[in-house]
Amino acid sequence: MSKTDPIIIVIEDDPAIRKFLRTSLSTQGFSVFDAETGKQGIIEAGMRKPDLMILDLGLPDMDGVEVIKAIRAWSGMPIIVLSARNHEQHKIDALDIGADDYLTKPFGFGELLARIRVALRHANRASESPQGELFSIDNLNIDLLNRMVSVDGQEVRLTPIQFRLLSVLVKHAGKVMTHQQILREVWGPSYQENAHYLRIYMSQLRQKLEQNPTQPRFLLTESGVGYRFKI
Amino acid sequence: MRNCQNSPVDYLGLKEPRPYRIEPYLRRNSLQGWAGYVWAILITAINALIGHVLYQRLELSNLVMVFLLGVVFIAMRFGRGPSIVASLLGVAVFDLFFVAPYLSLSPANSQYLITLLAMLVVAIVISNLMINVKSQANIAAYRERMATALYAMSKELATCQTEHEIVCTAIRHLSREFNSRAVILFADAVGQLHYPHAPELPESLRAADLLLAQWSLDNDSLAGRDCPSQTRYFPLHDEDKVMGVLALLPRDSVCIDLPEQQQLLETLLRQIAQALSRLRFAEQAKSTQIQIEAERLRNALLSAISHDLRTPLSTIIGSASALADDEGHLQASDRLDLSRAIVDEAERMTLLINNLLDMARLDAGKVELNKQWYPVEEIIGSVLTRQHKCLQNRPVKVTMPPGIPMLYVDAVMIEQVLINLIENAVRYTPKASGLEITVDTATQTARISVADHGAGIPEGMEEKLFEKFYQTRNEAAQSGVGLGLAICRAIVEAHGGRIKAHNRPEGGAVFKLELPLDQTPPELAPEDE
Repeated sequence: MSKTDPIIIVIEDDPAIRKFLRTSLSTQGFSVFDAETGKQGIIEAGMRKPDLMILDLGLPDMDGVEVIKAIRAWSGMPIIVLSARNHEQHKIDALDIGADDYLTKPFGFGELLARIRVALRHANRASESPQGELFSIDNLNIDLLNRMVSVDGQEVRLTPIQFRLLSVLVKHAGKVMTHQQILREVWGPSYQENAHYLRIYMSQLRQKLEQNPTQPRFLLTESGVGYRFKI
Repeated sequence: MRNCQNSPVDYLGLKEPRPYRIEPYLRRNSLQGWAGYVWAILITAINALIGHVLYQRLELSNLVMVFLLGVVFIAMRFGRGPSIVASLLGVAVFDLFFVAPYLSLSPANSQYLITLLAMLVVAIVISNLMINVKSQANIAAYRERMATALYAMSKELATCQTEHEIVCTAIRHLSREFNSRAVILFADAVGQLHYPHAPELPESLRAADLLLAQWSLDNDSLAGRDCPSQTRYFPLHDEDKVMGVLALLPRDSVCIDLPEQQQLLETLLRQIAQALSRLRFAEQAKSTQIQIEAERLRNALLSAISHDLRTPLSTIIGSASALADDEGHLQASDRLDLSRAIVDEAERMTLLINNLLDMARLDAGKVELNKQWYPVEEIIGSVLTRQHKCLQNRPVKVTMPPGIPMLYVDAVMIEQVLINLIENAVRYTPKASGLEITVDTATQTARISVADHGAGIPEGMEEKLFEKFYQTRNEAAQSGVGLGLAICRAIVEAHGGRIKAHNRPEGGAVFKLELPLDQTPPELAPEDE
C-alpha cells in the first residue's frame, strides 16, 4: 500500500459484501477503509480524507441520503451508492442530494471498478481545470466556449436549449444526472415537473449527435433515474 | 312529545300491542250503506207489483213466498240491516194490500205475525251466513295476495347475485306490500351498524335512527313500535347470528299491526335474511375456492423455484468449494472456468429472483404506474444499452418510421417487458441469430414488436405462453421458471394494452405489444437554431 494509492471508504452493513469489497479493491491498488454504520462512516471519512466513498443506502442507523448530506457539507469527493432493486426513488434522492453514481445490487466487480475509475477521473478533471472548454471523444468534438459542436468534423447546428443541455451533460460527463438536476440547470428551478421537455430535447440531441439514436454511444438513459454522458 | 333519540328505551315497543279488529279492513269492499236500503224498498215494491198481478191466481200462503224470496235476495246481497227492513216492509205491504181489511194494519190478522217472524228469522240467518261466506272469501283472497307477494319476492331474491341486489329487491317488495319506505343496515365485523354506502332507491328510507337500530340488533328484538317517528326496526338473522337490521316506515302504521300483515312481514323478513345468508355462504365458498387456487399456484411456484434455484446453487457451491479447498492443484485455466461458472449461475439466479419479485409485486397489485411521456426510441435505446452484454454477437435491427408519437407509459415497466422479450429470444434461439425490433402505429395504438429467427412457437401455444410457470420445452439448461412472459402480460395489461405472440411466415416468432395512444402528447414551442 503506497502513499499515493487512492483512498476509498466503504460504508456497508453487510460483513460479506464489506469483505468482498475490501479484498478485491485492495488488489486493484486502492487503500480501503470500511465502516459498518453511517455515523462511523462519517467519522472515518473525516479522519481519512478519502478520494471516493462507496455507500450502501440501507444502513441500520441512518438513511444513506443523510450520510451524503453530511459528507457534502464539507467534501465534493465522488460518492457511489449501492442500492437494492426497485427503489428508483431512493436512488434518485441520493443522486439529487449529491451522489455521483449508483449500482444496483447484485453487481459485478468489473462494473464497480469501471464506475470507480470514471468517478475518480471526473473528480480529478474537475479539480485540475474548473471549466474544461474543449471536449473531444471519438468522432464528437465540443467547444463549450465558442459553442461549436461537430460530428466527424461536420459542424452540427444546435438550438440554444439543445446546446445548454449538451453542455450540462458534458460538464458532468460520466456522472449520472437525474431529471431534476438537468431540468434545474438547463431550464431553471420552476421547470422541475416538466421531465417530458427534457426527453424531447434529449431525443433531438440524439438525432443530431448519435449515429444510431436507438443504440446511443454518448447520451445514455439511466432508466427511471436520468441521463449520463458516457465518456 | 319526547324526543325519540334522547331516550330510545321509551319507544322500544315493549308495551302490549294495541287492540285491533280485522273486520273493518276486510269488509271495506262489501256493498253497504244506503244502497242496500234503497234495494230493500225497491224489491219490496216489485214484490208488491208481482203480488198484485198474481193475487187472483195464488193462495195467500204462496204469495208470502214471493216476499220471502225478496228478503232472501236482499239478505244475500246487502246483509242484515236491509234484509230486516225488507222483512218489515214485506209484512206491512202484505198486510196492507193483500189481507182484508185492505189498507189497514188490522190486528185481527195476527196470524200473519208468524209470517213476519219467519221472514225476520230467515233474513237474519241468511244475512249472517252471507257475511261469513264473504269474510271467508275476503280472507282467502287476502291469503292469495300474501302468497303471491311472497312468491314474487322469493323468486326475485333467488336470482340476486349481490348484497346490493338483495337489498334493492327487498326494499321494493316491502314498499309494494306495506306501502312503506325501508332501509337495511348491516352490521360490521364487530357488530356495529352503519348507514349503507350504496346509492338509495326511490323507496329507500332516508332517516333511520342508528341508536334504536343498534338496540334492536344487540337484543335481537324488534324496536320502535311506539316511537313518534313510526319507524320500526326488525333484526335480520340467519341460523346463528344477526346480520343487520331492517328499518321500515309504513304509511299506515295501524294496518301493519294486523296479525295477517305481521305474519306476512315476518315471512318476508325471513326470506330476506335467508337470501342474505345464502349469499354470504356462497361468497365464503368462493373465497375458499380462490384460496385453493392460490394454494395450487403456490405449490407450482414452490416446486418450480426449488428446482430452478437449487440447480444454479449446486454449481455455485460446487465451484466455489473447489476453489476454496484448492491446495494448489488447480490450473489457472481451471480456476478461471470455475469462477466463470459461479458468475454465470449467480446471474441466472438473479434473473430468476428478480422475475419472482416482479411477479409477486404485480400479483399483489402494489404496482403503481409512474406514467410519463417518453419518446419510443429512448425506451428502446435504454433497453438495448442495458441488454448490451446479453446481445453480444447478435445483430439487432431497429425499424422505426419517423413521427411516432410519444408514449404515456411507465418507462421502467415497459423496458422490463422488452428486456424479458429479448432475454426470452436470446434463450430460445440459436446463438448469433438476429433480432428485429419494429415500431409502428395503428389506430389509437402504438405497436412494438420483437421478432426472432428461432424455431418459433409450438402450434396452439400462442396464448399459453403468457401463463405463469409455462415453458415450451422441459429444458433444465434453459430454465427460467416461466414467469418472464407472464410479467410482460401483467405490465402491458396494466397499461391498458395487449401482448400477443405468433409465428412469422418466414420463420421465427414475433411478440407484439400494443399500447394505447389515447392521450394527446404535450407539444413544445419550436425553437430557433
